[in-house]
Amino acid sequence: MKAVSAAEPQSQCGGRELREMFCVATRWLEKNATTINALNVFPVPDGDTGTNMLLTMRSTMAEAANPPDNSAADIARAMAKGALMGARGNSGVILSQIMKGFARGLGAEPSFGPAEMASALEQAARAAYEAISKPREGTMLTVIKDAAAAARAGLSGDGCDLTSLMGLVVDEARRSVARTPELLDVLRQAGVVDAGGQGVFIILDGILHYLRGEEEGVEMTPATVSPVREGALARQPAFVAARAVPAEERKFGYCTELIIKGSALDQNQVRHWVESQGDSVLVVGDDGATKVHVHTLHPGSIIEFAISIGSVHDLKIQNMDDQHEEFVQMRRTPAPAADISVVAVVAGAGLEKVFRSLGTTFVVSGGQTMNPSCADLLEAVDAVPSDRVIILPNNKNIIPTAKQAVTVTKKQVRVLPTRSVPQGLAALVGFNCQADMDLNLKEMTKAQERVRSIEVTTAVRDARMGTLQIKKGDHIGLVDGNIRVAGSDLGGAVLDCLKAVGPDTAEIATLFYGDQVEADQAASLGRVLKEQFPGLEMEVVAGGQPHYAYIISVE
Amino acid sequence: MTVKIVTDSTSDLPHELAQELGITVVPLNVHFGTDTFRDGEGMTADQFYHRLLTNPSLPKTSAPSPGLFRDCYARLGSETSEIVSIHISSKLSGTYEAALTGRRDLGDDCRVEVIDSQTVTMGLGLLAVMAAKAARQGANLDEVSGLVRDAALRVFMASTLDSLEYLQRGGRIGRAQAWLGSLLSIKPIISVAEGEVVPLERVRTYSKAVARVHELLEAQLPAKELAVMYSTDPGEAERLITHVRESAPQQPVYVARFGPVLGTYMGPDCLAFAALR
Repeated sequence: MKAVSAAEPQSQCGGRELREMFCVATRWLEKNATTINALNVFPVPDGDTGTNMLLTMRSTMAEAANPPDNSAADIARAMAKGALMGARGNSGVILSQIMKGFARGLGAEPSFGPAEMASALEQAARAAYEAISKPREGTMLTVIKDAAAAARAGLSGDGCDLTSLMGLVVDEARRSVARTPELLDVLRQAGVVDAGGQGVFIILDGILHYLRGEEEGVEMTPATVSPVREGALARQPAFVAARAVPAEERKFGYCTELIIKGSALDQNQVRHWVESQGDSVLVVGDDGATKVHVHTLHPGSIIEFAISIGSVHDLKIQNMDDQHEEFVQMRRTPAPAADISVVAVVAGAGLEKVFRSLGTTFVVSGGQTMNPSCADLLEAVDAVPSDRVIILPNNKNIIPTAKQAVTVTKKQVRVLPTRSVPQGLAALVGFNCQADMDLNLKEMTKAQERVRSIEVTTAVRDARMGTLQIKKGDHIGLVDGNIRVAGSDLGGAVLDCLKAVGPDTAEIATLFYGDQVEADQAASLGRVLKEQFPGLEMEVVAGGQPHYAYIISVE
Repeated sequence: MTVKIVTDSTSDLPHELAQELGITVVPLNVHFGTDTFRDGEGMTADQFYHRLLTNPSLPKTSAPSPGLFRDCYARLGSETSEIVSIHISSKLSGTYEAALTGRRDLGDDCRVEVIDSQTVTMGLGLLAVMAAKAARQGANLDEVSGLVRDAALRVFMASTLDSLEYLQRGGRIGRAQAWLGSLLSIKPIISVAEGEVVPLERVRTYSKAVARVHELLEAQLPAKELAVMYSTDPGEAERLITHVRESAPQQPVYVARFGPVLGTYMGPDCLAFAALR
C-alpha cells in the first residue's frame, strides 16, 4: 500500500485520513484477532471476541468507503452506520456504540484535530456505557473510558499534536488492559486480560501506527480469523457479506456422494484428500468399502481420485445451488396464517430442521463462535412475511445483536432472550402463531424458564474452574451455562450433567448430537442413559451442531 | 306438549344423564374390520379401548343411517309434535346430513329442527342438556333452537392428546395438521372451533399438558354447564374435578368418557373439558 500517512506530526486530519487510520486499525485488529480470541475466560470454544470485533470493523470500513474523501464528519457517520449494521457478539455491539459516540464527538466539521479526537473518544466512552444496562469495570468499557481520560489530560500538555496525543492514549489503553484482571475476578482467576479491552487497545494502537507512518508493520495476514473452524465461518453468509460478495453470487457447489470399493483402502488418506477438496466431509467405512460425502465445487476431481484407488459405486451428484434455492424458498415458506413469525439463530442442519418443524419461519445460521451480525438478523426479519417477529437468539452472545436489530427495523420485533438451544426450543414449543404478541411472549418465556440446558463440549485449553481441574481436550459439561463437569469420558460427562440436573423431577430429555458424533454412538449413549434414568423419556435427535458433541434439553 | 331432544352418540352423554333428561341418543357405527358395532351397544368402553390399543388397524366410524333417524323421529312423533335434533359438527361427520335426510321422509304433523352444533363430545352433550332443561320448563321448538344456536357459540373445549397419530390416521386433524411435521415428540392441546379441530397449544410432556388443561379450565369458571371428559384414565378426570371443587365449590360438573367414536380419533390418555359460558 502507498504510504499515505503522515510521517510528521499532524495537527489536522480530513476524511481521507480518518478512513485510512481506521483502515490500518482494522488490519492491525485482523493481525491480532486470533490472540484476542484466545483471551477467553472459559475453556470452551467460544473465544470469538477478536473475530466479532474484526467483522464489526470490516462492516464499518465497507460503509466508510461510500462518502467522498473531503468530510471527516460524513465518513465518521458512515462508519457508525456500518458498525451498527455489522455488529455481532457482545463486543461487536459495544464497539458499534463506541463508533457511534466517536462520530458524535468528532463533530460536524470536515476535518479534526487533537481537541476533536479527545472529545470523540469521550463521546465514544459515554455511548459505550449508555448501551449497557449494567456496565462492568474491567472490560472494554473501562479501556475506552481510560483512553478518553488520557486524551483529555493530554490536551493540556505543550505543543500537543494528534500523533503525540494518540501516543498518550495508547499508552494508557495498554495499562488499562493490564489492569482489567484487578477489576474483574473472573479474569484474574482465568489468568487473562479482558479480550474486548485488548481489542479496543489494538484499534487505538492501529490508529497510532497510521499516524506515525508505521503501517508497513501492520501487514495483512491471511484470513486466520477463526480459531476453531475456518470452514464453518467462511460458510457463514454474513462472513461472505462482510467481504462484500453479493449474496446471489454465493456458490455452494455440488453435494457429491459415492462409495469406493477396493482393497486396503486407507480411511485417513481418503479423508485427508477429500477434506482438501471441499467441506461437510464425511468418510466412513472400512478398508474394503468407503462411503464419501463432500460438498465441493469440483466433483470430477473427487471421482478421479476415487477411481485411482478403487471402483466407484452409488454415485450421486446434486447441484446445491438448486438445493439452496429450494432451501431458501422452504425457509421462507410461511406457516399458515402467520401473523407472527419466529426468527431463530441455530447452527447445525438437524437443529435447523427441528426449529423449522416447530414453526420457525426463518433460521439464521449461527451460534457459538459464529455470531450472526445485526444485518443478518435484519435480513431475516425483512424476509419473513409478517410484520410482527419474535427473535430467538439461543445464545447469550447473540442477545445484544438481536436487541440492536430491534432498534433499526420498521417491523414490530421482540427479542425473547433465550440463552441456549434448549431454551429456544422450549420457547418455540410454546409459540402459537394465532395468539397475539404479548401472550406469545408471556407463554414462551414461561416455557423456556422450565427447561434445563446441558451442553457438552471439548476444553480448548487447561483451566481451573472452582474445584474442577480441566485439561485441554477434556469433555466439559455445562449445565445452564455453568461448567459443572470435566473428564476424559464423553458419556460420563453427559451422565454427570444429567445427574446434576436432577433427573428425578424431569420427564423428558432430548439429546441432540453434534456433527462430530456418529448416530450409533449417540443411540447407544441414549440407551445407557435410559437404563440409568428409567423414569426419563429419552429422545435422540441428530442436531449436527459444531463444537458441542451433545446439547440436551431436559424438561 | 314438551319438545323432545335428540342428539347422537358423539355427544358422549352419560347414559343415566340422557335417561334422566329424556334425551334420545342416536348411535353412530364403529367398524373393526368387518365387525360393526353401534356406538354404546354390544361393547363396553373398556373393551373398545382394549381393542383400539391391541388391534393393528384403526377402527373406522360411520354416521347413523338416515333410516335410523327417520325411525327415531317417527317414534318420538307419536309423543310430541316438536323435536330439536342437535348433532356433531358437520365438518367432522356426516351425521348432520343423515339427520336432515331422515327428516325429509316424515309427515307434516311433527316439526323437526336439525342443528349443526359446530362441536362434539360433551360440548355437544352440554347443548343437549341445556336444551332438555329448557324444554322441560316449557320452551317451544323455536325457543329451544334459538337457545342452542346461541349457546353453541359459547362452548369452549380443550383436550390433551397423547399423540396426533389417531387424529391424523382418522383424517380429522384439521388445522392441527401444522404440528404434524414436528421432529420432536410434543403433546398437543387441541380444541374445536367453528366446527373444526384446532390446535390450541403444545407442550413437551404429558404432565405439563395436564397442568395446562387445569389452567385452561380454571379460566372458564364459573361456567353455566361444565363437563370433564377422559378416554382411559378416570383418575386424571377425578383430579381435574377435585381442582374444580376447590376453585369453585358451587360449580356443578358432569363426568363423561370418550366413547368409541371419539376414542377412535383421540386415542388413549386424553383429558378434556367442555364449558358452556
